[in-house]
Amino acid sequence: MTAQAPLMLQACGTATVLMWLVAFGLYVADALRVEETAGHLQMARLLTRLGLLIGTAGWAGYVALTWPPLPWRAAWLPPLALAALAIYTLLARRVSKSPVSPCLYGCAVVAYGVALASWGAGNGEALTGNPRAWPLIAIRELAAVVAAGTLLTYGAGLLIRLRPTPALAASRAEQLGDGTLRIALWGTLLALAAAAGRAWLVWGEVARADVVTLFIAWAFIMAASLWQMMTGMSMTRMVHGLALAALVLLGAMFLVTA
Amino acid sequence: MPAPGLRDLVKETIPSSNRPLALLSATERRTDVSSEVSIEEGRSARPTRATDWPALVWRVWTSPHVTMVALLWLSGLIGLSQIIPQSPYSLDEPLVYSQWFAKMPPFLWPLVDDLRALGFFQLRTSAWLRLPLAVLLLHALAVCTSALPVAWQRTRARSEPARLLARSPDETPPALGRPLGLAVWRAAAAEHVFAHTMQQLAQDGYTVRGDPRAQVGLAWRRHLGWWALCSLYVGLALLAMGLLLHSWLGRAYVLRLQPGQATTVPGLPELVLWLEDTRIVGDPLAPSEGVVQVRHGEAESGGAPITLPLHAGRMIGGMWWTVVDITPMVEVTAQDAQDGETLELWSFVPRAHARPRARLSLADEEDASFVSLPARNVTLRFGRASEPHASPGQLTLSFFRGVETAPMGTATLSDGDEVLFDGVRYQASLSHDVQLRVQQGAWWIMAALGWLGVALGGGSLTWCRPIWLVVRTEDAAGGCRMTIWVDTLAPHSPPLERLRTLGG
Repeated sequence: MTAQAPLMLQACGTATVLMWLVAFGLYVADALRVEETAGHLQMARLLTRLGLLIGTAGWAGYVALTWPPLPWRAAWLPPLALAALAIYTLLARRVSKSPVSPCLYGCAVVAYGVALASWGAGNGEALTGNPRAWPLIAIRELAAVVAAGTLLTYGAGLLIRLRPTPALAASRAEQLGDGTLRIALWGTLLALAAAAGRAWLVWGEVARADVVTLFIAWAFIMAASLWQMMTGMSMTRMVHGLALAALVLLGAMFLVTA
Repeated sequence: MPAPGLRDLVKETIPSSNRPLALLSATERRTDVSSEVSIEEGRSARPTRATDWPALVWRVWTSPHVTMVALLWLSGLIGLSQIIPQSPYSLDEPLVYSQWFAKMPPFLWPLVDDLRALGFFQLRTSAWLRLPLAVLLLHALAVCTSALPVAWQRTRARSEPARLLARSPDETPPALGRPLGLAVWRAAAAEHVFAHTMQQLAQDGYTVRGDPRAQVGLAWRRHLGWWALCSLYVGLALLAMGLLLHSWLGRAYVLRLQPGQATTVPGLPELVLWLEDTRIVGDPLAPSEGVVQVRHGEAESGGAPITLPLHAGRMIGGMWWTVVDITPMVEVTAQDAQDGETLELWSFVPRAHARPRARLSLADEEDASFVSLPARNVTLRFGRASEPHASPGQLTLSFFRGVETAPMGTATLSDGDEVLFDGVRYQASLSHDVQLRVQQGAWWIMAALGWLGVALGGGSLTWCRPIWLVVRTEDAAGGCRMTIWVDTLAPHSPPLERLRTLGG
């Protein structure tokens, strides 16, 4: 039974992430529309709740059968994703709909996806080493997940904009683009500071893979933000290219570094 | 970032109705220069763009596009330094060079010498990286030179607007962000239009200050954003300077300390280190936590003891000390069981020779090391105990005769245990080598402060994007002429539609 625990997490996790990705796309499409479409939203809610159930069952089963030790990403990121989505579904009805609100959903998808992917790649063993550096790892991880989640939202918005329909509000798309880049800039700033601080404390140098990838991702987002500020144009090809490249780099950071 | 003034930005046409005369941004201007007609000359005429080369160069050099180019250039090189294996030491010694060469991916072998000559294997300390850093530094300093006085002027203008307005009533203000110019004609008295415009701006959430007699007013929002921009560029300048000086003047020494041996640092003759004690928490063969005690001094005893935890850097004597690794070592001795004679051992490491005591590392590939006893034609293999119930710190010792690949015997032993095999008494004891990194120079503090400035400035700018407006009205034929000059870092603010309706 214990031997099948990883398989259970993998199967349930993959199903969960796929369902959430579809629901996330529907939510982003809805956030960019002038008027909401009830059919799409119902489907998105259904997929989200189903994903919450399967994701919780998969992760809880894995934890119960293999505790301790657990790969730290597989241990801590899925519950964060589940909590974020539970909050999102609770708040979705009460809070006024902002184009940037799907970012929370994006972060949850990224958190669960990263836990699965890095576990599959053999990354993120149980935390060892200097315990003083652990909070820095947690900050780096959370901030990078937030940055990647918002950039995923940016990418989803971009995909939806590729097929413009009269129902799409251009101003909402611009708000989404601007807002996601702001949050992503904060996320990469914080993640880079934490990663560099940890590398300096632990190895006495900052030329580590996570610091390098985060620096490049930050530089891309910073350049995109400067471009926005100076030209006043938020959704240009230059900004799209830089934002998507930063998303790819953040993904690589999760896969390559522990 | 001085930008073209209002005079450069405003396009005028014949006023025919109560509609905007001109609205032109810096980006639009580039495509519409042919129809640009400058408004009347002010008191301090600005030189034309065609002849004012220094101003043009300064404008280009302080443009945010240079920031983007420098950041992307720097990113490219840093990324390249991660892809191409970098050498942390000098490659002049042939043995070191061949060992390093062997670790290269085979597809790079034909190119290694050319790439090495170009400095591609030491990118982090080469001119390739220093050049974009120098560009970023000079650019950020230039931007600070332009932006700091303007930010200060605007801050003072909040409390003393009349002074700023009186000083240069006709001059075009310098811009730090995206400049917009608007000139409109209104069929009403100038005083009335001015008062109405300022009132509208106040209703829109702007803080307004005006001089009704001179009909010049200021309006702003999120004023701190200008200081955030300054902080960003001061931070970039400090970061670039810190990294530049760190790579140029800073020196990093990676030392391997062994128990009972003095370690000297090349280039720092006064620094002599003795490894005094190593305390490991947990498995001594896989140290993930531990504390190292090092003594600093000429003699083994005396001198100041320094306690250094593993993976926890400390500043000592102006240098940053980090224990990077603690390597488990096995010390082996062999004695003839009958006459007690010490036998010489020969370890399988480069440049080794026969010694009465062999030190073997357990951090090598496959966590095993070999040593031979030439006098008895026996080879010993030391490894970590792989049995499921082996206690931490236990070793497996295997004996091989001649060139045979199957072991003649195997024993599990702990620190200090003895094993008798084929008339020879072997003793194994555990010790630890320490890898210590000493970073000379404190330029990294400058880089860290720079990063703080970048983080504060960049982070603040994401939420606090400032807008600065200067409004002027003057009587014109049949009504009044109003010019609005905007400097903004907010992509969608102020909305152009709103600007067009001001004063109407």
